Amino acid sequence: MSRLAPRAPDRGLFAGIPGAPTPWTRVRNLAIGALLVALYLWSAQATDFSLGRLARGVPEMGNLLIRMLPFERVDLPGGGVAWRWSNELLRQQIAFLPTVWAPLMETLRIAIVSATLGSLLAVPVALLASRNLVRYPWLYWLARGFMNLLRTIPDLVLAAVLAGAFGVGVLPGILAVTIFSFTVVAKLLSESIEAIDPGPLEAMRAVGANRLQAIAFGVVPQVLPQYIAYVLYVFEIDVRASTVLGLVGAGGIGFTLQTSLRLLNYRAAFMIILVILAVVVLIDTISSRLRERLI
Amino acid sequence: MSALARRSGTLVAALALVALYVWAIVGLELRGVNLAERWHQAAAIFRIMVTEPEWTYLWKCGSAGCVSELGQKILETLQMALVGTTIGAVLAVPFGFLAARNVAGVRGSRAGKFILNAIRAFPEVVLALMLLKAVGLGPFAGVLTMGIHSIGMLGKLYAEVVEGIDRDVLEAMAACGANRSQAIAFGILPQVLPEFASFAIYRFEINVRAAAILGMVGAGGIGTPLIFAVNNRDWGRIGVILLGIIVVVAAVDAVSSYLRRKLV
Repeated sequence: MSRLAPRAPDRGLFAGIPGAPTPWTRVRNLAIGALLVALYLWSAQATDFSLGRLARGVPEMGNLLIRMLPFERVDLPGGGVAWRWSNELLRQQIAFLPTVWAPLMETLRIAIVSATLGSLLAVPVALLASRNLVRYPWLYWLARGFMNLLRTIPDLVLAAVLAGAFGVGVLPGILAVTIFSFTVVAKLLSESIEAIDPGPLEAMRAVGANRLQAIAFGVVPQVLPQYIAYVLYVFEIDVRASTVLGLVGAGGIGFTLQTSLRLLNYRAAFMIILVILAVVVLIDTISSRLRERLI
Repeated sequence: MSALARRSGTLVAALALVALYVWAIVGLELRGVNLAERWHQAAAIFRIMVTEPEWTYLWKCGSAGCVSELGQKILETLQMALVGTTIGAVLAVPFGFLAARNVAGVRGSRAGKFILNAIRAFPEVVLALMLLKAVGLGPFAGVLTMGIHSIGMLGKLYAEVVEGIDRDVLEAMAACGANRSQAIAFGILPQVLPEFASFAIYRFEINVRAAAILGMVGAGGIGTPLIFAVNNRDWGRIGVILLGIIVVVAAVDAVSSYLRRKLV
């Protein structure tokens, strides 16, 4: 080991080569590293990070998990507690499934409607936010700024605020996910439009097409398959987002989950989580298959 | 495929799509909702948020000195995101190697990627709800949530980086007499670290948004005062909090993309 240990690079060898390590870069790197570690320790302390609490949390987690599964609590004579598998509880859990159906469908409806609305609204803004289509820089920056401003608000924060403003229900959920879809598709689409081949566009202008004609025949055919792929992609994310909207009062299966957690009905909560996972994976698979066929 | 078959296929797909939309729209219980009335109510609320923001939440000076409650909560949000991202970025490294085809083989890679996808599919807020039951309310639960959830995405991206490694370097190192750990330390890590770091910074961007959300279920950060303000219909305060989130997220995005451009 010691015989073959790598030696520090011989700087004589690197002398004069740009980018070669110098003592100065090493000091700088060390300083950055030390700063990062200090920042990290400070943050860990401020966020109550503690391995002790984590260790104490592990049995709690196990406790929670066992209460999510069909195990019956048995109090032992000596004062201890044991858990016994119960077919009756399993039957109850399975019997609970049909009640999840309606909120689950509501979740999917929110995702479908919002993905569509958001994707449609994204088209005009994406066109205005494409440098190669817009003649006026102020218009381009305005569209871009609007897009980026909306993009900074986290989806569930938006849902919570809209639920406060519009009242609890599916309406704020649809609005929040629509805005979220809009920001995702508008950004991706404007990037696609900026990357198109300028040839067809120039050809259209050369033969005297007006702006709308030039866009319809010079831009749309080039970006349409990508646009459809983005719509499917955003639908995929929307399904994920819609499953948790209910936690802030914006409709869907999340509300059912929250209710069962509030009532400490962990076995019901477990079934809801399973259903959410199954739907998310299913939609992801279908959507990515479709997207592969598109591009 | 004949033109007729293709055309009827398209027709069937179009009809199915129309049916899907009818199902989705008709089933949404929006008929009882008076949209105009709701809109007026919401517009009045938005007006309050914009015209009467509660600036004392941003900055208040009393006998004990000046405090910024918003600043403290935003700082906590950033700290949560930093610690959560770091945990995730470090734990994702072994996952990334174990899910890479050239390290774990085709079978092992498939198993590793399945685990990472399962982590990614689990909604972050739901994970937070479970961890909150285990470790109690507060930012620690949020940090753990982000740490675990980040492994899913980062592990997958790391695996792709590892799969793109130039193996000739390893051979060259072996030819110079390096042992296996030396070959990894000087042949592999310099190839992957900049990209790992770049992805971790990108994940930090995502986690800042996630940290703002996690507070709404009780896991610390700016989300907690936000959800209280929503429940108390404290619109002026919501306006200030939203402004804070927008400014900080935009700043983090800008710094992060600058750093990533410098790295890769």
